[in-house]
Amino acid sequence: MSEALEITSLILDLAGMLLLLFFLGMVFYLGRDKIKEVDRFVIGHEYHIGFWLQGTSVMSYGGAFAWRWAAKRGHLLEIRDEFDPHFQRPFIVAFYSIWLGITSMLGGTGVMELAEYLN
Amino acid sequence: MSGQLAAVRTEDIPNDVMYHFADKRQSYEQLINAIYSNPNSSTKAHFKSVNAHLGTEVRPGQLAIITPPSAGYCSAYERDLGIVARHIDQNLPVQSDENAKVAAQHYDTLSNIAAYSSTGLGVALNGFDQHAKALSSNLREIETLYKRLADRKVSKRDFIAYRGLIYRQMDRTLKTMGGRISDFEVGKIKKSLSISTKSTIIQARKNPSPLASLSEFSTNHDKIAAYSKRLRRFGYVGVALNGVSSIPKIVEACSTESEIDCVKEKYIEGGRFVGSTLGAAGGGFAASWATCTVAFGLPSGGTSALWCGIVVGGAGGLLGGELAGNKGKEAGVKLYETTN
Repeated sequence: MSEALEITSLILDLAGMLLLLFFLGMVFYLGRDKIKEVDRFVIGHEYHIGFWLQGTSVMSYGGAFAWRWAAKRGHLLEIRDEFDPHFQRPFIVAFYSIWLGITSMLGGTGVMELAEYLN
Repeated sequence: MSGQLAAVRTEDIPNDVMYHFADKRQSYEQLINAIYSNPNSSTKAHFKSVNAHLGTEVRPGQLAIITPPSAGYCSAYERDLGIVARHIDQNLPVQSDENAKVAAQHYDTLSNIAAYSSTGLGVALNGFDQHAKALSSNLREIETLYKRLADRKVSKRDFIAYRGLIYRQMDRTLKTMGGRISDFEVGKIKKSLSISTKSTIIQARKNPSPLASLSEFSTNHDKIAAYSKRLRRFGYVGVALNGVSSIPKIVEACSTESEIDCVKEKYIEGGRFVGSTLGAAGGGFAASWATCTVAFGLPSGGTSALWCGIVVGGAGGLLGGELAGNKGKEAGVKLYETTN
């Protein structure tokens, strides 16, 4: 039983890491031009310099595209109407991938704790 | 240089004085066409008169001054800006084209960072402090209002009206504290000067760094040039250091212990490096979004969001890196056991 739980935990951890790696890849991809396009609409010019700030924008723009409430909190409601669904999709996929990755890794920790408890 | 320039208070800078930093090598004509949409001959003549420092070829990082052709009132300011532009030109040879390009494209962001260093921090915190005092006073007013309602010294209708008024005041203060960069005004001025909406134009009086005098403009620009160089490497250094810290442990295991331990250490340290790098990135980005955007509601692109992201993202990254680093180690051990 605990052996199976340990393997489940390992799979969840690896899946989480792969999803985080996928998110970083998406930041590289979106950082090439798509973030700049949204920047020009939101701020009036290109704002994001370097990988770190590009990652934070993928989160804010992705969150705004995925979730109306988050768009309202981040003063980004207008971008939901400005950009078509095809343009929004990679931002949304990246946004969900990071949360799925984190959830998966936290799940892995939980399963590992359970395995240790059962041992 | 400060002796040659007049001290100008930010509020005295005319509203329609703007500037643009060239972000690539281009001809003088290409620069005008990049800034203005369909410039006429008088616009071109005025541009030439205020930008006498520009040659036939414009280099990345060179400053172009943009003022309305009819604005005679800001000629002294234009003259001083011209001196600053020449000072910038003299320093350009020490900057690579790539750094000058980064500085030009991200002038606002870097200026925000420069605004928070040294004296800028004091100015910014002072402003924040004043807003905090205003909020505190609003909260006391609400408390008094509730007491007056409880003592029946104010009618319910008046209470609601007064409370709404105070709420609106608080809302305005909070919005100011949030540091929303309003580009609507810049947009209007751009339109009136027929400036292309695609060009990156900075309004002189909205510069995030304190510009008590034009000599500070120049100092600020020097700082921005330095920051652009450092920021391009921001983040990569952390990843590199993380990777480098794994090497001594592997070297030690491989030089003092058995070959099995050496291979095992490679799996463990490799797993730790991958885990902590991914965890730090995930934790940093997620914490920054959850705190700065969702909890505080800070608008993207503002100074507050930038600093909140750096502080909260840094803390989240540290935590995520630590947790995921341990997970990476465990995964490394498991992988080693499975494959060997």
